[in-house]
Amino acid sequence: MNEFEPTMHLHHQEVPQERFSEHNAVIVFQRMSQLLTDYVLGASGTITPPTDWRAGLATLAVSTMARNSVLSVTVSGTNVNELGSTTPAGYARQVIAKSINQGAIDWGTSTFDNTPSTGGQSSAADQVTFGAFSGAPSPNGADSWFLSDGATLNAGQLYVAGDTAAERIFANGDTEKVTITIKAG
Amino acid sequence: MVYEIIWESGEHSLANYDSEEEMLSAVAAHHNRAKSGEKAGPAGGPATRVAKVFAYKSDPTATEDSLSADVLKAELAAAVDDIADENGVVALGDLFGAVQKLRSSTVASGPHESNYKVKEDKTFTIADIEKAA
Repeated sequence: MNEFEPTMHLHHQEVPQERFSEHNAVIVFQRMSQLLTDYVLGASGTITPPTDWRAGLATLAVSTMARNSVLSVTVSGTNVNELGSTTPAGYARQVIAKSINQGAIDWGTSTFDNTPSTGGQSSAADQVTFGAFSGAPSPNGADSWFLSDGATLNAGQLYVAGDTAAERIFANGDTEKVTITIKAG
Repeated sequence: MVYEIIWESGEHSLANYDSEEEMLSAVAAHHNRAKSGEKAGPAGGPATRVAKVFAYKSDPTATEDSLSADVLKAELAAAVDDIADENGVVALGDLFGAVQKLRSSTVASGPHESNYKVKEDKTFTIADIEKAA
C-alpha cells in the first residue's frame, strides 16, 4: 500500500520484470524533511545533503520504524538494524549518485502526474543490485530497504525506507534488485 | 576488500567479501544460475551473467571531506572551464552541480566500465569467473 505524507512519499518496485508493481508500506524520516526545511528553504550549512545516496537493506519492517529511527547495532525500540552488519557475506550498500541520467547509477528525469488527489511529481533511481551473496549474511532476512549516506554499515542518516514485498532470506549466489522511486504528492 | 561486480546487462553491484575466493565462489554461483536459466534470488526474476569484477583495496566510494586550498583552486578552475559556454560565460546554477561533482566518488561510465573515479587494483575477467564456476 502507499502511505501518503504531507511533504512526500515513495513507493518501489523490487523486480521490474514482474508484471504488476508492488506498493508496500513506506516512511519518510525526519532527516529528509529537515533537508527541505533547513537546507532548501533556509540554506543551512549544517543540515546538508550527503555526497552520494546509499541504498541499503534492513531487517525491520516499516511498521516498527519511527520518523526519528536511527541505524544501530543495538536492536531495541525503533532502531533500524542493517542486513549483513555483522557478517556481510557479499552485502554492501549501493551508491546512487547525485545526478540525473549521467551514466552511473543515478536518478531519472522527474515527471509529473496531474491525477487529482493521487498524482504528484516523482523520480525513479536506476535499479540497484545487492549481492551476489556468498552465503547467509548476519543478520539475515531483509524486510525493508532504506536510503542513507556513507559506506559504513549500521551508521549514517536515514532518509526514507520501504518494505520489501516479503522477507528475503539470502544464500550463496543470491542477488536482490531494488528500484527506488521518490514521489511528492 | 570491496568489489564492483559488472553484470552482462550493464548493471553494477558493490559487494564486501573477505577474500578473492569468497568473491569468486559467490559470483560464479550466480553466473551458473544465469547459464542454467535459474532465478536470481528469493525475489525471483532471472539470474544475470557476470561480465567482470573489479577489486579495490580501499573503498572506491570514499570521498574527501576536505582538500588543500591549492588542490581545490585547481579543481574549481577546471570545473569552471568545463561548464563555461563558448563565450566564456558560466551559469551560476550549473556551478552548484559542478561543485557537487567534485565530492562525488562516481563518474559517468559505459555499461561495462567502472562507476568510480579511483582505479581498480585488480580485474577479474569472464575467464576467471568461468574457471571458478
